[in-house]
Amino acid sequence: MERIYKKLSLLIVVAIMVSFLVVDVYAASSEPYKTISSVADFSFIEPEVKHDKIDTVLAEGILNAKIRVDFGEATSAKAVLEYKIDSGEVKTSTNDAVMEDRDFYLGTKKGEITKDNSIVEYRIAVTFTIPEENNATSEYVLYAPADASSTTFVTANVISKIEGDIAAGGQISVFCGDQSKGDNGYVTVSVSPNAYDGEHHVVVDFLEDASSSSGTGQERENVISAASVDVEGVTEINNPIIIKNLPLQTETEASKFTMQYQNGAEWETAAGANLSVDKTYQLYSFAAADIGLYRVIESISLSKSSYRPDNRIVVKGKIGSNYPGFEFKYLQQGDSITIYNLKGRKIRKISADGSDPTIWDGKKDNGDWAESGTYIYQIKLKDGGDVISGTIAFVW
Amino acid sequence: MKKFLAVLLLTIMVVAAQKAQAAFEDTYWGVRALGMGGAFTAVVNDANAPLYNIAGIANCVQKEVTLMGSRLFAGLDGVEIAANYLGFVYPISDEWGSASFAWSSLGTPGLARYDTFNVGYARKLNDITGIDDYYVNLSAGLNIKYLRQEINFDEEDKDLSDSKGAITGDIGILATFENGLRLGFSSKYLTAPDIGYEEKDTVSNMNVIGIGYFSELLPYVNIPTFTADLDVIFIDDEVKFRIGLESYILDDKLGIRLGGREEAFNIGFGYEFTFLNDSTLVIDYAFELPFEIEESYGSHFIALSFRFN
Repeated sequence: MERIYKKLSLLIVVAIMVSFLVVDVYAASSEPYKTISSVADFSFIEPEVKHDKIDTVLAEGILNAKIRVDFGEATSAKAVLEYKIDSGEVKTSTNDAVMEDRDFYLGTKKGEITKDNSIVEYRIAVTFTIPEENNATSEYVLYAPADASSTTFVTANVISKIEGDIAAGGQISVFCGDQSKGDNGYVTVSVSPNAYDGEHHVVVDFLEDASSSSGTGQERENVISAASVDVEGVTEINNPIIIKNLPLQTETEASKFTMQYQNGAEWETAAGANLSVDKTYQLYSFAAADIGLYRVIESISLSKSSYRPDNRIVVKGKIGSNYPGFEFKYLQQGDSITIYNLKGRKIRKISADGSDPTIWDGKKDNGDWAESGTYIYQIKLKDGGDVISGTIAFVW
Repeated sequence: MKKFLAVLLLTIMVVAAQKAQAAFEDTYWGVRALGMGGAFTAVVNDANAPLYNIAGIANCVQKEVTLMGSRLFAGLDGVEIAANYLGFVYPISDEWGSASFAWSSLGTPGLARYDTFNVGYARKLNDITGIDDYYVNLSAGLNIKYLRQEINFDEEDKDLSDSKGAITGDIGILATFENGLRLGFSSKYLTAPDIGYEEKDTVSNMNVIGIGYFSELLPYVNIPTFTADLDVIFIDDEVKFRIGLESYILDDKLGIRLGGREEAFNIGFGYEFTFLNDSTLVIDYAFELPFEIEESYGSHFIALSFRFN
């Protein structure tokens, strides 16, 4: 009886010890995925969460899931990519993280896409182990998407094409927030379950800052888009969305930026968007009511002179890619320029398409070159106000 | 008469239409002419003739000088365009004809300027042709002109010279008939000179036929000292029209004008002050309203002219 008791005691001790062993939750544990919805769920010794970023790129038929986790105290991590192509069966791809310095690079997952314009649904589970204060370790699983209320896949749709049939697009970014500021954690993009019901494919598409390299560009744009933009749609994005990691200037205030919404025909200012700026992380965020196409434009105090072309004289023979013609700045979609000769006859009307600058290339409406001479331009802004007039010379 | 019309048509056919520099067209000068919408080719009998039909200076009986200033497209913030004109006609004699000098300028400060210098000569042809001047008064003239454009290039275009010039000429013919009919023909920029900076930039040859009518008292409606003119302009591949009307009232002291062209509507007036020594001071004003340009109060032209022996 005593031997049995000793064996039973030993068994209990062993069982207790085993319970303290670290196991790979995703691979071995029967526990359900644990979704972390805020930084506060972590108990780091030095809770130094910089950011989690999960990018996916659809390109050349390959789905890449590139994952980086900046947890300085984590000891190991593993990422699993689950994906479905065109609602097919779920496939997985797993690999261990590679630790470099204080960061873990979880590498690139690839899933083959067999045809262009495929709809790829995926989620990524990142499992990482973090030491606790008592030298024990804890394991956490981060999902992307990490909406606690949703266990569904996010659909990354092909929204554009480059170089013929090569598809591109579909990125998802998850921002961790700033714990010291009390920011909510991981979930900055969350998608309601009905967001991918086959008609409202959700795409969060991060574009590069088109103007940052020019040094003078005033419009900085980033886009959150839906592949099938349905402005009347019922799908909602519930949480604030980080739309851009812009190179902010020293003086950056939310009041200097305007968030605009693509209504299907033109950009319009989104009222009540509560645009905010995080200088530390150089992020803009706003609350969006609907899935759609958004952009942030740096608000500029514009006078009449702002719209006038700096180059009042253009030589016909020099017109080319670096010398495109008269450059009218800051015009928005819906604005227009009309060119008149000095007899008062209209020779050209140009409707701004939102690209900046808007160019008059020296040609008439019928495609012929305008005669050499002085011309009057009139700029009409869609928002009303005065007509802005001036003179320019086109020289042969 | 048949000979005259044949010469007219032949001249039109010989002078081929060519392409295109717009800044020197006669849309901006001569206040009396502008009051009539620029329809003046068959009317010409004053110091505006060097611009519209050089043959007209042969009909000037007194020396005349005119000075014009203007403001084009007033009311447009950021648009400052001015046209100026100086014309002088010197009738020498019936035998030696008349001479003229004229300068016209169109400019935008700090941007571009277009100048034309004219030296003209015209003479009545009745004594040469043997046509009785009781039925028709026939005259012809030649204008030698120097065109100059000056562009204030930006820094990136400083490799180009600031100005370009060229010499060319006009010819004009005018026939005024006893019954009030007036026919005029003017061929301008005969050589279609090239004044381009980088590429060929020709000032288009412009052929104008003017058909006019003059009446001391217009029948049926009793409009005094009535003049009408229709100019048909052939330039490049286009045909354009200008039309103008004029009447003098108050003992021929006050002239009232009305006219138009495709792009604008014109009105004008002029008043003549006659002095004891038979000299006359004339103040002319013309207003042009462009149809297409928005928010403009129109173009305003004013001239001071002096006729003397």
